[in-house]
Amino acid sequence: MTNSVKWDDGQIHQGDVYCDIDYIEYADVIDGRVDISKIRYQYVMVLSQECDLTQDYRERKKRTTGEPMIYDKVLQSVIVVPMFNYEHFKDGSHLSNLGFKMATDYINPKKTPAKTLMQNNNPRYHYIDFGESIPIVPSVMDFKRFFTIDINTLYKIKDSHYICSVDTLFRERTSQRFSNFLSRIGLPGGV
Amino acid sequence: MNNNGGTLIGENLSSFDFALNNGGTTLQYSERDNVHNGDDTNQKDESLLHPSVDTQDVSKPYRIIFKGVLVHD
Repeated sequence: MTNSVKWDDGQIHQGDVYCDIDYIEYADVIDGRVDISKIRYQYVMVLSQECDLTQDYRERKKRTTGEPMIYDKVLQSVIVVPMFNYEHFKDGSHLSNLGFKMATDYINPKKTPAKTLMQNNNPRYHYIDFGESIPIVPSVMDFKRFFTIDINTLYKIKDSHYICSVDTLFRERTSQRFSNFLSRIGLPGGV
Repeated sequence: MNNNGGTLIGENLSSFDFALNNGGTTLQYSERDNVHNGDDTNQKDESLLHPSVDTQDVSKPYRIIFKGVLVHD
C-alpha cells in the first residue's frame, strides 16, 4: 500500500497525481490550418524534483508581491509519468486506443513476472495501490513512457485536476526508481 | 506563437481555450472528443473532423484530433 496526502499550499509537488492530463503529440499551423493531436491520460504522477518545484513556486509567488523574480529558478515544464490501470496493463491492452498491443507477461498474479512487478522489483515499472481512501484503482507506471507538461498550464488547471499526492518517502522511492531506470547502462551483446 | 503571429501553442492548449488576438484573425475550429459526444456547439467544419476517435475506450489513454482553420475577419 502507498500512503497518500493532500497538499493545500498551492504548490505543485513531486508525487502529485492529476487526472485528465494531455500530452500534445503535435500542433501545427500550416497555411492557416490548425492541426493538433493529443493523448489524454486518465492519471499522471509528477516526478520532477521537489526542491526545483519549491524554488519555482517561491519565485512564482513573487509576481503577486512585486518582488524581483530570480528567473534562473523558474521551471519551464514538469515531468509526469502516466499511471495505467493494472487490470488493463496486465492483459496488455492499456494502450489499445493508440493501436498498441503490449506484453501480457503479468496476467497471472501467481507467476514470477507479476509478483516481481507488484513487489516493485522490476526496474522498469512501478506498481502503486492507494487503497480504498483514494478513488484510483491499482496502477502501474512504465518508466519508458513519460512526458513533460508546461508548468504554467499545469498551474492553471491544478485545482480542478488534483487528486492526491504520494506521501514523502514513498515519493522519494518512486523518484529514485525512476531516475535509476533512466540512468541505467545497457551493455552490448547481452554481456 | 503560431506563424500568423497569434498566441496559440502553450496558451492553455489543453483546454482548447483559444484566444487569437492578432489583429482580426480568429480561429474557427472543430473538435472531436469522446467525452463531448453529442455536443456539436464547437463543431463548425464537419469536413475537418477526424474519423476514427469515436470508437475509443475513454477509461484508457485516448487520442484527440483537433483540426481547424484560421480565418481573417
